[in-house]
Amino acid sequence: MIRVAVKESQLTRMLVFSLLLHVTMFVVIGRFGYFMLSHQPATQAYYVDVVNLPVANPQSGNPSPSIENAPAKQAPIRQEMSRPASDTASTVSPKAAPSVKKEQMPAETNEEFAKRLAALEKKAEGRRLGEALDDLRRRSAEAGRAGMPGAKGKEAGSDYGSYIQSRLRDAFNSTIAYQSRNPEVVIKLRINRFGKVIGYRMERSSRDKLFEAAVARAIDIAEENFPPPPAGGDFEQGFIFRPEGVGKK
Amino acid sequence: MGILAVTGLVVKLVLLVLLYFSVVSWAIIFYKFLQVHRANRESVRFLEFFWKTKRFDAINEQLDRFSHSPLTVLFSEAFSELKKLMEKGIQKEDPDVISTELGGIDNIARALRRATTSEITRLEKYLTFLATTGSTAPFIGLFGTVWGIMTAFKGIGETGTASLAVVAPGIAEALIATAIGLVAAIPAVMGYNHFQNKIRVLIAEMDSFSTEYLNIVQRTFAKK
Repeated sequence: MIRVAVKESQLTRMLVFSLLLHVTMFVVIGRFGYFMLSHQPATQAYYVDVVNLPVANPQSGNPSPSIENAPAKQAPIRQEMSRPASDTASTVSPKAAPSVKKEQMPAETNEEFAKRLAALEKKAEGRRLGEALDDLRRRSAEAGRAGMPGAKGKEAGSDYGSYIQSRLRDAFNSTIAYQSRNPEVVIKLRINRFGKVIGYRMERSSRDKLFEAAVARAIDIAEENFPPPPAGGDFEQGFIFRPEGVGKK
Repeated sequence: MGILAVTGLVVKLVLLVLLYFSVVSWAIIFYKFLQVHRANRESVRFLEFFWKTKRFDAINEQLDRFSHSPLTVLFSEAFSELKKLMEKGIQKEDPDVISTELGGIDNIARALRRATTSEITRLEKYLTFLATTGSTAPFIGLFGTVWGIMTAFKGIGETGTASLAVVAPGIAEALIATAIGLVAAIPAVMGYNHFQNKIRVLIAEMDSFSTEYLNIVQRTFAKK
C-alpha cells in the first residue's frame, strides 16, 4: 500500500512537471510569434504628396524647376520638325519651315505632310514627358527617399490630416481583416511634435475583434511614415476606418 | 493579434481538451519512462544477486534493495507460498520436503502466475490513456478545425465578401486545432508503442524467472 502511494505521488510530480513544460513551450513558441496572425510583409510605399507636386505656381506664374526646363528641351524637337527645310534654309524660323518644305517638295501631298507632322509631334511630346518625369524622379531621389519629392505634408498648402489619412489608408489596405458585416471604427489619433503617435482613443467600436486588431496594426505600420506636424505642436484628428477605406472625421 | 484570442468558444474548448490530453500524456510518458527504466535496471541487478546467492531466505531479506523490479514481487510471493508449504511439512514432521502429490509445486506456480499478472497490470497501468490520446486527439482536433471553418464560412456569408483577408484568419484559427491534436497524439502513440515493447520484454523476463524458480524448488524441495 505504501509502495502504491509513493508511485501515485510520483505521477503527481510528473503531472506538475509536464504542465510546467507545456507552459514553457507555449511561452517560447508564443515569443517567436507562431500564434500570431501573419500579415504580408510591409513594402515601402511610394508616396507622392499631390498637394505639393511641382506644378505651376500661380503666384509667380512659373512652373516648378523641372517643368521650367521643358521649353528649353523642346528646342531640339522643333529643330527636328524643321529638319527637312534645313537643307536649303537653315536660318529660316521654325514656324516658316512647313511652308518652305511645301514649296521645295511638291511630290509630298498636304495630307502626307500633316500625318508626318502629327507623328513627329507625338514623338516629341512623349520624349518631353519622359524627360520631365525623369527629372522629377531624380529630384525626389536627391531629396532623400525614393518616390517622395521632398514633401512632408507640412509645406504651405498641405493638409497634414489628409497626409496622415493617406498613410493610414495604405497601411490599412495591407492589414484589413474583419468578420462582422460592415464594421466601422472611429479612432481619435494623437501625434506629438516629433511625428510619433502618443496614443489613440477608440470613440466607436465595431465589436469585431479582428477588425479592431487590423486597425491597431495599421496605425503601428503607418506611424513609421508620419512626419512631424507642421505647427510644431501636437496633432489630433479623428479617423473613420471602414472596409472600404479610411476617412477623416 | 494572437490566433488564440480570436478563436470561438467551441474551438477554445477543443484546444483545452487537447491541452489536457497532452499534459497528462507527457506526465504518463515521463512516469512510465522512470518506472520501466528502473524496473529493467533493478531486474538485471536482482538476477545477478539471485544467481550468486544460494539461500532463498538470504535473498528474501535483501529484496528491499530491488524494490522497483517486478521479479522481486514474484520471488516474494513464491517464497511466502513455499514457506507455508514447508510449515505444513514441519507439522507433518517431514521438514524441507513439500509434497508434489498434494500439488505443492502447483501452489507455487499459481502464486507466481498471480504475481506476474499483478505486475503486468501495474506496468501497463495508464498506458490505455496514451492509446486513447493517440487515437482520439487527431479527431478532436479535426472537429475543432471543421467547426472553425464552418464559422469562417458563416462569416463570409454574413459579410458578403470572400477576400483572403476575411477567409484566412478563420482557417488559420481552425487549423491550429488539428495541429495541436497531432502534437498531442504523435508522442502518445510513440510512447505507447515504446512502453509496450519494453513491458513485453519484462513479461518475458518474469516468465523465464518463474520457470527457473519452479525448477529450483522442484530440484531442492520436492519429494524424490
